[in-house]
Amino acid sequence: MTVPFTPARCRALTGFWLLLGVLSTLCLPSLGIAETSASQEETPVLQETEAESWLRKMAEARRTQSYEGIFVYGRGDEVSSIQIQHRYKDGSEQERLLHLDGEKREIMREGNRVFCVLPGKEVMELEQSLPSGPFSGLDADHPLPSRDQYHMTLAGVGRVAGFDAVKVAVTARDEYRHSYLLWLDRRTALPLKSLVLDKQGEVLERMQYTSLEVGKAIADSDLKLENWPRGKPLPYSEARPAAAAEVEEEAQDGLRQRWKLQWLPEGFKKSPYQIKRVAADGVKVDTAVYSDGLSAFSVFVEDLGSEPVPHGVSQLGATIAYSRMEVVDGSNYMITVVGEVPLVTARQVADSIQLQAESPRQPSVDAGAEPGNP
Amino acid sequence: MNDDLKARETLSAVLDDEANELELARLLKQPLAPELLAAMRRYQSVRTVLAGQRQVATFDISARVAAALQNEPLPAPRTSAAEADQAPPASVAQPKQPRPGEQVTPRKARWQLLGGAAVAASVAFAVMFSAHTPQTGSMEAPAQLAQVPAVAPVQIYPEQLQSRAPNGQPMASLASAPVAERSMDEEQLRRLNEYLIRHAEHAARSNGQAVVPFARMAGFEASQHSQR
Repeated sequence: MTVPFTPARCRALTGFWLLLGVLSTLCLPSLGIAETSASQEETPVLQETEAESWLRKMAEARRTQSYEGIFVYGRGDEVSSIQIQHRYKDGSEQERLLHLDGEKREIMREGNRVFCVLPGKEVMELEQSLPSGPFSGLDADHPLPSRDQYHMTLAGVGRVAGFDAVKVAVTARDEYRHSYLLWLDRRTALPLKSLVLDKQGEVLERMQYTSLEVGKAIADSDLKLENWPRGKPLPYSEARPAAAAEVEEEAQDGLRQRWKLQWLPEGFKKSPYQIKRVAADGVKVDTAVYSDGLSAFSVFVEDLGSEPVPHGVSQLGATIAYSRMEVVDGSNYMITVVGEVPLVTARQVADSIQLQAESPRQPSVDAGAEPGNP
Repeated sequence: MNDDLKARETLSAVLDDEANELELARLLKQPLAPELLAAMRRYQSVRTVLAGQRQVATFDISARVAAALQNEPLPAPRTSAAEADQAPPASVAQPKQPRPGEQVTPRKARWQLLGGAAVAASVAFAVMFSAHTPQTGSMEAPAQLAQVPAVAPVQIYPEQLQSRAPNGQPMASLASAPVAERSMDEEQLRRLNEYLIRHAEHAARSNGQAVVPFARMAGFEASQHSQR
């Protein structure tokens, strides 16, 4: 809530809230008001606001509706069109994206496995992220952005691509993340248009459907890839997801254990997914992803040996990349933060990363005579 | 000490647009002592806060801007008319950036009355990648960087490279880097592009498989890594 609570106001309102709280639990659809006074026995009931309810429906719709259309994606002066087909069938999603401008990049997604196909090049399986935890596989682990970090409100109505829409504003409460403005289809809650805004209200990035059909049956043939020979199966079976334990071992030279983030903006948490490195040989880089439910950034720590490390910042639309160098034991490490966050966040996160030297002894030896490497 | 104090007073007056010609001339004649530069940074910081703008970057690039302006490199072919004509805004809001891989055109700085800091703030958001040398010392910088093919001709000033802090870490300030507008070499670009693509996948996953992150991949060079 953004209402300032001065003591007098607080006292005056307490009685009111108590009464209202009682009424709302007794009666009605939620009025979207959080209980501010809570006696010790009662836990505060946090009712979902209407804006939050729309966002929840949006996340669900994006996954479980079948739809196809074309949307434009823009950042700065650059605009490109992308064709999309999304099908939900028998509990699983299939999605195909085709860039209509420039190179014919195609993306095929089945659930959480994503392939990228470029004409003339091999298929590239994008980063596999393996859920590790009890709710693995479910999308129940995509919570709403938190009220503590974002102020979510309804912001009117509109019309996009011929659909009546509801506007939802998701405004950052601090300077460490961007704000969002979303237009959701009134009937299905599908996102029709979205803007990413910086602190000054400048649009960093925009997405907007120009044509959309919802609920239409999508045939297998509609999901075929343009750049992939018809009939040739995508190599889903070949690249089996590694078990979580295997992934842990792939942290080369224990690189993962040697670096630590000393600072995270509030509300950001490390993604529960293990990242399987799908990469060329001999490249020592470790990755971690952090998200606050809406904005995400990735941290890359790479051992460059004696190569010079680019140091600086680059920004493209809402995405920023900031990297700096740290020298440990004569080796140059490049620490990079890439994400849809403001520069101040990327920079503070990267600057806060501490990197340690490799332990001089073998990890498997020494039955604990020395204290563990911190 | 007295001179120093006087210089700072003049500096303050100049930033507030209250100095007269004589004071300004005297100030400009002064050698740029680090204390004076530090003072200027502080004053500018205060002014930014008073103006209600949040200072999002604390890069000190005054040395680099000075170097860039002293020996402005030859203009490289412009990437687009729109980009060339775009004047860098004086506020901290970020102007459009050249994409990684694009040729970067050195911008003609708009040189205002010691408004160097305001100009610097906008220049700060240009692609500012530079290559640090390994810990062997700053004098090796020219040789090191000369090996790296640069797209645009660039002057490098080893004197500008600051020494390392006592704990061995490179100075956090980007003033230690050579001239701002400099493309990365092919290997560095490839690496950055790979990070961008990987992050897009992460972002999609973190956000319930939203499509916008996949859309962001438009324009990124595909990684050379093939599917394994």
